[in-house]
Amino acid sequence: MEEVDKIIIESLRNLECDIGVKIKNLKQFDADMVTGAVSSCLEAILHSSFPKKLPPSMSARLKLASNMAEQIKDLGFREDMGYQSILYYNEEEVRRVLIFLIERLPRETIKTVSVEQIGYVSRIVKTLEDNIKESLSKTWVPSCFLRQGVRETSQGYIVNSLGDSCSLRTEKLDIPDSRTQNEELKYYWIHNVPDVTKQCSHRKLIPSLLYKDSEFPEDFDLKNVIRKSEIVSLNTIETDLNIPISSSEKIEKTSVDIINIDKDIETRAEQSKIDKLSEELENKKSQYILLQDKVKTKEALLKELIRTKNEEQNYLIETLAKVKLKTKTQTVLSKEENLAKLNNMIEKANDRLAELAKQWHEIQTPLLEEYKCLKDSLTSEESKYQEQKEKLENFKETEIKLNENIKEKKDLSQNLTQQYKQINRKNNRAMYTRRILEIISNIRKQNNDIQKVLKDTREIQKEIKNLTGQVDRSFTLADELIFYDAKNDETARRSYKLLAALRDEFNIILKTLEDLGVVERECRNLEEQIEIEKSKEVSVKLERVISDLRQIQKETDMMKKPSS
Amino acid sequence: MKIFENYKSSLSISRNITLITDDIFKKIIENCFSFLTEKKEIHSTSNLYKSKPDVTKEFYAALLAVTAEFARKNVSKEEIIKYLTSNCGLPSDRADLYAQNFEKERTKIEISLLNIGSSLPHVSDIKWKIDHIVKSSEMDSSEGPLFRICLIAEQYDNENENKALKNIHFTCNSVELLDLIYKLKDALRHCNNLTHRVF
Repeated sequence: MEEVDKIIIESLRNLECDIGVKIKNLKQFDADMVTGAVSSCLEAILHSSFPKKLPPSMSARLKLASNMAEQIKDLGFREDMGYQSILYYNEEEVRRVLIFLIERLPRETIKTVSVEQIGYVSRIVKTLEDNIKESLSKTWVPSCFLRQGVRETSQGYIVNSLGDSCSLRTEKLDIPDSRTQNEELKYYWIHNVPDVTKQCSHRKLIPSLLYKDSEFPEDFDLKNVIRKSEIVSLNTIETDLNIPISSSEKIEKTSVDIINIDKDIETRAEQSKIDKLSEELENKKSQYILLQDKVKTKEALLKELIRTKNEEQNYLIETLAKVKLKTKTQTVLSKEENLAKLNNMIEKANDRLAELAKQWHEIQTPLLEEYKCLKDSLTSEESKYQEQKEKLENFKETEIKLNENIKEKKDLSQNLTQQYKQINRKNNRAMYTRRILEIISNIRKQNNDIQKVLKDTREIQKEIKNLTGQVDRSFTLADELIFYDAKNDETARRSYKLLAALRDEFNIILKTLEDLGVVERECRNLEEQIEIEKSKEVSVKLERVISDLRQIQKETDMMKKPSS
Repeated sequence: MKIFENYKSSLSISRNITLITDDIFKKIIENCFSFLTEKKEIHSTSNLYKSKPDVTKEFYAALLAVTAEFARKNVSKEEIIKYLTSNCGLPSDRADLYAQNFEKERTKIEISLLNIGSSLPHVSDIKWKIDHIVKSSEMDSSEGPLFRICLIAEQYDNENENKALKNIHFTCNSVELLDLIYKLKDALRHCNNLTHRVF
């Protein structure tokens, strides 16, 4: 029975029924667990929800239990089944019910779980299939009704047509960069650059943002290139044509001039006069220009001369002042008192200078030392700061690394849990097969035992038969011998009678022995029956039922009271 | 998240609350998403610039680029919020606002991205006629009817920058046409097989 219990508990655990790890067989179950197990089985079979725990109220309990019992009976459970078999735990009954329910469990759930697609290609194929299925299940819509040829559905989108997709072409975008210090560039960015969305056409914006134009050469836009070159060649041709057109215009002009010559001859006399006058005028003009130039050069010379004169005057004033000063000092120095005074003053000034230098030195040295100290401390602090900065950077790196590690570990743990689940499932099957094999070996052993017992009983039967045969034979032999003698001998006749009596007695003894065996067997049967009846615990059950009845009566009374 | 390093400094501009106020931030985000989902910008951009137009322009460009990049890399909402708050230093309410808008428009942006790339023209309609040459000066017998087929397909017109219809003409005889039909049926069967596969 232990094997059966193990299998039952294992399959209940697979149904995500709440069964503790310590529970190994059905003896450890209680009423709550039985209801939980039965309800989860029923849920799996009938796909409808059942409460997993018994409610506190007795009447509700009864209702739930009898409902479950009815469902189980509807499933085809033949044996005695009522609310009592769920509410009042009885190992045998519960085992029978659970075996029945587990046999009825749907197989598909296990199947769908066991076949799971793993791997990149198979997943892609799966999504492809889902997509095609979905697109086939929807009604067809012409792509001119769809925006961008894509249809949005509840699960994502179905691509109907890619006719609206433009090829990947990028343009150089001018995006301001706040890190530069170039003021002119900034001015350009502030006032002249349009928004990034207006720098290129709408469809080119996303590719231009995502890729730099250097990554994709614009070679495949051949049409534009050809058109540009065509335009250029047309322009050059036009300019070439322009030159001859202008020369022809000149020719026309000269012809017009020739027509006008006649008129010119008439006015030639006047013209010669005018020419002479104009020549004179021109001569005068050139003379005038020459004279003007001369005036200009002279003026420049004059200016220069004035400048030099001013400079020399300044120099003269300065030298005069110097001479005055020197004559004054000469007069002062000529007296000896003044000289001594001056010498004195000079010495005093020298002393004072020395004193001041000393004082300066006194003030300067501690300040210099302080400065040096501060500089040292600054450098040390700077080095410390550098170290800490490095540390911080290190920490940042480690943080990033740790974050990555955590992510990897999380992924790994997820994978492992998945694998663990799968392995569990596989284990389950392996366990079942192992158990089945064990059970088969057990059955084989038991079969062998049964065979042995059968052999023994057969041997005993054989012996009994042999013995009865021997008895029969010995009796007939004795009977014949004594009968043969009985014709002649009186004692033999008596002994024959005694023999007959003896035989009857023995027959009776044998019969009573057989009867005894039968009675013993009956006794054993009766004892077994008594045990079975005992195990059913009818009296206890009856007591329980009576107590339940009382409780229900109480509850109904309680309910009646507030209503009245 | 290494690809997004380039945008980090540009995105962190929006930490400056006085330059990009909450209202302006919201309007920029709305502009960004409406532009990326193939509509026009809702708000006029010139109203969004305060004292420094260049910085706002830079932020707008970075926002557009990073949004497209997020959709391309299929970054989850949590990761977006994490990137915006911890890497770029945005306040969490702004990051939340952005992420919410992004989740709302994710499929539309994905569709916009889907429409980038060269693809074969999409056949949407067909016109056909059957010709039969009975006799000419060179020959007096022909090999059955000629099928003149015109497939009407949709393709993106690079010059006008819109979807245009393109006609694909070809002529075939009945054997070639049968061949084509068998090919098409083959493809159909393949699709059916994929959907009805039993595991």
